[in-house]
Amino acid sequence: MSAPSRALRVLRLAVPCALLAAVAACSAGPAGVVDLEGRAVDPLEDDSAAQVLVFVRTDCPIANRYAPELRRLAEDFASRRVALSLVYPDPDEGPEQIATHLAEYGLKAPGIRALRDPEHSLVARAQARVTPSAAVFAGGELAYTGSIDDMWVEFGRARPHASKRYLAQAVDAVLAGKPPEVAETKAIGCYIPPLEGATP
Amino acid sequence: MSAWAHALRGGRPLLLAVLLAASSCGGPPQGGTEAPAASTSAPAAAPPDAAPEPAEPAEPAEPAPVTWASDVAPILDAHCGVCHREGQSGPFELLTWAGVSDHTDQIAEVVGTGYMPPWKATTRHPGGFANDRSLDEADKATIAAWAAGGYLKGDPALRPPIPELPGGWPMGEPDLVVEVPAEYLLPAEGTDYYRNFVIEAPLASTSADSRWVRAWDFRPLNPRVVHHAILNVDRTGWARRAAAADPEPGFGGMDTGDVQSPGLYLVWAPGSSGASGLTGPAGTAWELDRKTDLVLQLHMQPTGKPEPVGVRLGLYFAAEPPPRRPLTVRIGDVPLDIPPGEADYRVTDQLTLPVDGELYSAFPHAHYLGKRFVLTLTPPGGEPLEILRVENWDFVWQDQYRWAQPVPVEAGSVLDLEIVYDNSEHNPSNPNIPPARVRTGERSVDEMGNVTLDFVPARADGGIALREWKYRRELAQGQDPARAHYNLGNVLRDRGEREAAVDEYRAALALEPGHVHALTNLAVTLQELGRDAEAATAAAKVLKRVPGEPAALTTLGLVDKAAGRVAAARGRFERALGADPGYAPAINNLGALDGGAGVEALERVAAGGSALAVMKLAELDLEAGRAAEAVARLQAAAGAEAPVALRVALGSALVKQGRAADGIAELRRAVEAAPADADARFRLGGALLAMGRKAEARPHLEAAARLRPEAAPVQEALGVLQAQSGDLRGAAEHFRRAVELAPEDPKHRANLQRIERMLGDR
Repeated sequence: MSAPSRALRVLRLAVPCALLAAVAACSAGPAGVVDLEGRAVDPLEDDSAAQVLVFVRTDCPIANRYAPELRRLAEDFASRRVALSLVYPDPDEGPEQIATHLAEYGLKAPGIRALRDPEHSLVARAQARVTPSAAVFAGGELAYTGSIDDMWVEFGRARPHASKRYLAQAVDAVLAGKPPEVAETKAIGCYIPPLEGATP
Repeated sequence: MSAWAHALRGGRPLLLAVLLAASSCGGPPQGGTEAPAASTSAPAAAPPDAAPEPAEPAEPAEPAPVTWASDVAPILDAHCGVCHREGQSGPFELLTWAGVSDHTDQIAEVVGTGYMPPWKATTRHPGGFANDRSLDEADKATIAAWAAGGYLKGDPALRPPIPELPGGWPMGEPDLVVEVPAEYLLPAEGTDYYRNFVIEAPLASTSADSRWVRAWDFRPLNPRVVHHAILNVDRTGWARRAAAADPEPGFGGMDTGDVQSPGLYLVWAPGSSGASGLTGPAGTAWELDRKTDLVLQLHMQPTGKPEPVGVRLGLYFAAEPPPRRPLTVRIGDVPLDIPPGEADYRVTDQLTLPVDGELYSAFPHAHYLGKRFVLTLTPPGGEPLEILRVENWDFVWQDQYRWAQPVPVEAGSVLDLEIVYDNSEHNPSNPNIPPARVRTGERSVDEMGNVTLDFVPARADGGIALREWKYRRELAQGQDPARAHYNLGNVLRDRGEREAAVDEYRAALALEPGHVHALTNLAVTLQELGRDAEAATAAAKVLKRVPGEPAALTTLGLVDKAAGRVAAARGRFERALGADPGYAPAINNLGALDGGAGVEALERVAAGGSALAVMKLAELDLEAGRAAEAVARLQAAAGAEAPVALRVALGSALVKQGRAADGIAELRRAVEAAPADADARFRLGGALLAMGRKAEARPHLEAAARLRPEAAPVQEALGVLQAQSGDLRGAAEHFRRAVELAPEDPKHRANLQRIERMLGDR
């Protein structure tokens, strides 16, 4: 469970902007990342001490069951000026569908920002494989990647309640200026499908 | 973009796991543990039908790559699409490429691990299980090969047509649809919720007094949240009180108190709707009368948002009386005391089945520490046969396992159960972190362990013996002894052993003085035995607890009557009817008061809308030779909403009045409305027989005999039918049965003697 140093290495995407399809979004940050209004956003560029990404999708039952916990985490993070971005990596999930999802699951809450990542720029930066999975960045560096907590043991097998709150502990550590005790865990959930046309 | 992402992620270890799964389950040998690159020299896999044959011609043709359209879609359609389709329980659909392509890795992984399709049981019993959802090894190999080949879509034109799910009710329009109110909101968060909804007396809104239910179906309005459902019946009012005490609709928890299964253990799980799942063993049905409540227990999992829960139930009634009566048998419930850290806590239980029959299904149940169930059956002098094994018990996916071939049971066969629990920290489902001592209990942090089996006795009269055995066994094990004494008392009372029944009711009350049903049945039975003083004491105790309880009031009325206090008796019967206008014993007793002392009271009750009172008055008319009055009285009450029994009474009265054709027509309408109503069948058969229409009479009389094998008059009518048809031996058989059933009636003996003389003359 504990962190191999590999995970802490920052993944710099040395990709010329010109090669990307969404050129417009490129200049503002990670390619293609937009909010629900279509504005280009770079969630890793702000002045807070930590940035938290949580990858979700509208039809992943495991991600959905975390909605109440995500609301609590967001509230806690907001009180410490840490932004939580919910990242929707499936290009087929449009802004309207996402807005409905947020409303249904009570995720239209202060401290939660919803982003689309149709080109998987953030997926790559955060090394996300499944939804839900979390990533904590500090100073542009990936400090934690993996599950929100240890509630899910394998696909379809959950503990009655979590005993280790990895994401919250990683944020605590980063805010205290320390590396998280656990920097990488295996997230359990729905695989993020590769983009159409990509070679598996 | 995505290619870089993949390069950065360093490939997907998942694929290796999938390939290992494929090779370990007998997949194509060329799969191996090769890297999953799309290399042509290492073909991903052969099609499933070629898999078991490794020896192939020297120059193998390039095998066609496994694709979704030609190879995988048919598997998903057959095994996944029932739930994974729009509006069903699966969280996403898997019938189209759009749905499948979003979940390819997930499909390969859960198929490889066996998590999906959800199915936990194995058995060495030949034939396996009728409701087995699992994929066979060839299908699993196909999916693994498809994964290894990069999830090729293939030619969409080759995709077979998507199988249609019959809309609405798969078994056709039910005879009765009832709804659970949709007011309950399942909380957004938590693990497993148990909620029990009470459907109060569903037959009360119909004209039937009682129905035989041959099948049921279940449609959650919100299929995503329901993991399984169990349908029980309650004749005690316990569930109504539990629901009334709970501020939300229904009541919570796994404890269902006095609620019982109706002879079959009725379980619904996702995908089990339809013809095969919910019909029970062939030739069986369970009885639902107009006073019985249905109690539906739902096991639900939250989804992350509050979910409204609504359910519709469909009931299918038997057109013919069931020839076989099933009974649930439960093994297990051994007291548990599991030390913390114990990873292999093993308990066993054993029972000996007392009669011949068949085991039809098994429903294992434990909580979060359960790990393994093994059930074996050993015939007398034979070898043990493992009939059910569940490894990796999962509380979330509880299911009823139905053998494809019912397991034959010889009387004296021994059923053995082993359950293993894991209370260590390595059990991820352990609710206690760190592990704690866990004992028996209904709460989810407590533990349980049992298997509920549907058993069908081979002989029609095997049921009473089996019930007696069941309750005596529960007593021996100390399982809810008050209830077991009470149930045993009812069995003994049904068998005419009233003194012994009284002892059982008293034993139940010694343990639980507030057991109103034991107290009520004690009062009634004591009165039947002529022990009036004791009966009156018991009845008074009932009335203290449940004022107006009709059986207790009627008992007191009978005691009054026996003491010559006719006015007091009449008052009690009338008060019983004030509490329950349909309480037949009070009506009958009013009618039986000497000199028509109860007629005025009956008229009052009849004017209040009691069909039973009208029928009783008509009966009195007929006894006094006033057939026209009886007919007029019944016709006035026989509206469209009138119960079948009233139509039967009208038909019989018409026949008595000499209007046989009208009477038979009325009785036919009654039989059409309620084909499983024994009395309607008997009266129609009898009327036809009296007209000499033997061929028409026969099926109705035979149906009546199947419905009420214990009714002597039906045997008598069948005897007459056989005698008139020239089958004297058959006639003797029926009269002999009638004598057995009603030894006190000299008519049957006389019939039998006449037939025996005729047989002797031949």
